[in-house]
Amino acid sequence: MKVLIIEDEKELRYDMVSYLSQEGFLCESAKNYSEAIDKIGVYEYDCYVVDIMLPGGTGLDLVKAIKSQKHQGGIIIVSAKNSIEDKITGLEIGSDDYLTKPFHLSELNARIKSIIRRRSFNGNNEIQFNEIRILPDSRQVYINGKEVALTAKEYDLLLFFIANKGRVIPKDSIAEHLWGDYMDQADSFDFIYTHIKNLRRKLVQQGAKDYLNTVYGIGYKFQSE
Amino acid sequence: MKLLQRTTLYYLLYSLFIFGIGTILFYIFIKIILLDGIDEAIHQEKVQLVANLNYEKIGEGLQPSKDVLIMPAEEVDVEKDKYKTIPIYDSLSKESVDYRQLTSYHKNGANWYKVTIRQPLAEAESLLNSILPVEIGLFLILLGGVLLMNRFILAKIWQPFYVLLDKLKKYNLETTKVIPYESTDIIEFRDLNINVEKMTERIYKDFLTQKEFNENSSHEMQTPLAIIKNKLELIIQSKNLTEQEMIHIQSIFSAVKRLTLLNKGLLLLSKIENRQFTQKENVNLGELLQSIFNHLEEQINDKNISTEIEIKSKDTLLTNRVLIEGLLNNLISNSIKHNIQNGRIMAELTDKHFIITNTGTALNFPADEMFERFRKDSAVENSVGLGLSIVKKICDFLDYKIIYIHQDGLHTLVINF
Repeated sequence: MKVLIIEDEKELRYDMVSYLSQEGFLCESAKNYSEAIDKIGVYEYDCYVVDIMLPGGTGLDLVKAIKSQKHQGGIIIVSAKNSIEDKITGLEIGSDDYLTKPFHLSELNARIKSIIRRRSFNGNNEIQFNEIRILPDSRQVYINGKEVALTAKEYDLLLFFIANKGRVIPKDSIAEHLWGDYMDQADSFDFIYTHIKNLRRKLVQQGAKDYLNTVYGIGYKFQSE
Repeated sequence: MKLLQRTTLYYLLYSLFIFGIGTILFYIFIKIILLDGIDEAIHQEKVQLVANLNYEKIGEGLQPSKDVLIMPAEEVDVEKDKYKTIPIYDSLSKESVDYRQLTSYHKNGANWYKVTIRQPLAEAESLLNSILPVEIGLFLILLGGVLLMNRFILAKIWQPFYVLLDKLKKYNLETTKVIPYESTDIIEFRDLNINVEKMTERIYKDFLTQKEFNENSSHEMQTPLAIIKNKLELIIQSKNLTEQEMIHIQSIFSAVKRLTLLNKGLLLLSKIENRQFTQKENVNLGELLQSIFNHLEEQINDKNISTEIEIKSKDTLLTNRVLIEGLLNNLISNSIKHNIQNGRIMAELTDKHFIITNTGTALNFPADEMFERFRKDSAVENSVGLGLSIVKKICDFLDYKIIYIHQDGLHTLVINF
């Protein structure tokens, strides 16, 4: 899986490449508009992460360029502006998702995976993690062939964990993933714990191994070991 | 009291005073002059009379006319010429009439005679009496004049002032920006206009600078925040972290989160100030309200808060979706955040208003400061103190009225659409 990261801020570019490379993505990066245009002209990627404000041009023009070359890869727009207009314009001209800075790398990772999955299997796909099988289209989860009834939040949580398997996920990344903007005013993460507890119980009850580890003070880790 | 009323009043008081004193003095002077004239006339008459007097005929007394009387007199009674005003009863008109009378003594040979000459004062008195009505008439004309002058001339002269006053009353940084100088031929008003223009220009410039600063600083903060957040996420993947280190990292995470929230809030505020949310669409507030409550379900359950939501409105509201969402979200989040364990939240939505009431401890600052930026309840840890100032800004922008009521331990916020 090839990902092109277009971001002018050196540190952010480095962090994204570093995190995503460990996820097994083949990452390339561009630090400005013209460099990005050059890369888009030569190669095709499975996913493009495009910053809107770039030296030499805007990310929105890059999205148009990607689309005009008939590239099939998914596009995620990243913006510091958090402005609805950019989001709407971005989605209208063909980007698949929109993230506002500052975002969690685990969130970016989950979004990229979700886009690639939707694109490459035309939506007709499934996710397998050892004995756990997930059908994203119907939002169904099976363990050893038996369906597990999960709430919407538990399902999202499980998908997020599997997308970031083997990684430590900080608590507020989980909170932001599940509640988005509505988390803004929250003053406690206690209720995240409730969802995680319920998810773990349901999975274990249906015969799955306990893959969830609590990382003291910081968050959680979903792994087979 | 209005400026014109006040100046008119002073004018009138002053003219009344001057007219009062003037009338009295005028009356006294005229009277003195008139009497002097009459006295002079009687004196002349007496001189002529005495010169032509036929002393033989006098005998026991002589009255050549009704107003002249000549009588013999004793030497002991002789006095200097004396003028005085005396009332004499007139049997014809049956009223007493004032006369000016001269008593004078003359010697012819060895005999003394007393000459009494008098002249009626009626004409002089009627002259005097006509002074008052004339004065009053003049005063009334002046009064009318002053009133008219103030009404028309002064109102015209002060007009630039009232125009400016009206502009200042309606002054709003977001729409008026600067009150432009308007030429007038009155130096003071011209100065005033020039200085008001200068002043509003300066205020507007400061306002822009501040707005720009808010916007730029919150934009510029986002990248460093993103870097910190991402670096932390990379650091926590390390397997060699001690518990102590992880606790430190978690603290940094929450600090970054707070900064992010603060930043988002300030950005939103500056965007509202920059009027970036002018698009309107029909929004179903009932559905929106329900979905926000659903999203916040966990937080509500976490504090074991009971909710009563009454949606009486079926119509949609023409408004800006982003802002109204921010408004309701902030209000509902606040009602949870500042609530107590096992508390209550009552929300009511009609076509005209939205009312949200929640249990909670009393404010630890004056209620009228609650919409100020960074005004927060110190008991709530993760609050950045921007929620209600965002609410207020949104209400101002959408022209909604917001009222806060605190009664019987219940906090109520009413939004009138």
